[in-house]
Amino acid sequence: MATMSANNLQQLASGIQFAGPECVTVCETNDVIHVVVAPEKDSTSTLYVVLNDEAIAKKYKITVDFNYSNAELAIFGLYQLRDKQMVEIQSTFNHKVPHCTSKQVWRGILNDSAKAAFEGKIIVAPHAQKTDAQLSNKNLLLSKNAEVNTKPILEIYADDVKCSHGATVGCLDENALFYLRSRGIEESVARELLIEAFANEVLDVVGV
Amino acid sequence: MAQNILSIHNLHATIGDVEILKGINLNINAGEVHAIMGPNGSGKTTLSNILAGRDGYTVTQGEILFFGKNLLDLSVEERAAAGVFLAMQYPVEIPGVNNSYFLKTALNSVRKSRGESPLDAFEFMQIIKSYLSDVGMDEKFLKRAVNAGFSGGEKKRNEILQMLLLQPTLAICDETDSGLDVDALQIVAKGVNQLRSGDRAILLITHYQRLLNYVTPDFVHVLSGGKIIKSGDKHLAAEIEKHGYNERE
Repeated sequence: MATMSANNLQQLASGIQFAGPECVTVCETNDVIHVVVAPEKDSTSTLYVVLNDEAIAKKYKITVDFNYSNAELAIFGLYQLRDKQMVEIQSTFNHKVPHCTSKQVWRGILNDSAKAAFEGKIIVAPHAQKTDAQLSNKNLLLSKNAEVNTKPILEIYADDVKCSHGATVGCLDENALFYLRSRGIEESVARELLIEAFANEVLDVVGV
Repeated sequence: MAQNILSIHNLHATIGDVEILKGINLNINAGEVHAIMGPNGSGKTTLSNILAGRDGYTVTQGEILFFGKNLLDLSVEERAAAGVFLAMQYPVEIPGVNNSYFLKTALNSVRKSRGESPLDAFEFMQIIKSYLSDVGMDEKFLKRAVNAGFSGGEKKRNEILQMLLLQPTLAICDETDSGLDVDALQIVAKGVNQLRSGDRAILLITHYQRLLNYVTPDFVHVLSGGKIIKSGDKHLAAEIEKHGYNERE
């Protein structure tokens, strides 16, 4: 897995950081931030996306083109929205060559009337054998009016690959909440603890 | 006369439209250990969940007094702060929440409600270390997430650890002995015996006599069909073990 050192961490846009060899282009138009990563041969890189109040454009497009073999790329992404905030995230991973590894961990926390749309597409070309691509998108809805649409898409044209994707949308675990409260922890504090724990799946890796 | 800690009068409760508890009466005084035994589906877990304040149950009749006050008026965390503790049959795994942080937050929440000052990290470690060794747990348990990936025995020991830490006045153990090997059972029993004192009460809910071989109860009750159908002393547990519940009617 990719490790991060302060030396090679680049700030690409508000809330978006990149660790790895130079192979990124960022294009910011009105409301869209488009990040294109083309990992180098034998490289390991990581993209960190933390979207909250200060860092929410309308739409984020992330495209990763694996043009060289033996590259590894991971994304750790978190979007945390409230009020009437809206965000659209579209990630497209093009596995064009063999022996590349990609991992995506996306977590969403939506409160109030916030809305998010997530689409994660993984395309594995016919000759991109031994591709290992994983995508996980989990969402926590904290209000009845919050809404998320998540669409993981796998298009696999090779036959010797390891790909997995999964998406969930749920509320705070009532059993966990009861457990914490039954130990004397106030409900509001217990909720915060559980929300933090969910966000930490990404934030612990980002290290902020 | 010893102070009354828990007093349950004619308690009826439902889950949805189904009546589970059909008139429970139970009095527990300070210093006493009570055991409730009963077959599956008799209402044991319903009773313990209602005492701890879990959602999903409706009390349709009767009352529960805790130190003379209506327990049902209190929120889950208020009950814990007042001294009610439920060691759960199925402790919940909470990935991402550090066990040490959880234990310290719980202890300081309960201390706050008792009007005591919060403990800092150092003071907390001093206290938790001694309890850890009481339940045979390593310090590395503190660094793990709450119950996440714990074995059945580790989860139950973590319950007893929390019980010792929070020093409740009414400790309810809901089938804490189920699924434990002899070593873990003895650790659980040791924890319960350690808590036992003249100003507390303990309610053990169990299927089997085996925990009661290590923790001698003052009273044993048989819960069946949502009612306590028989009460006695420790000898009743041995009788049940020998003859089963059916002959008790």
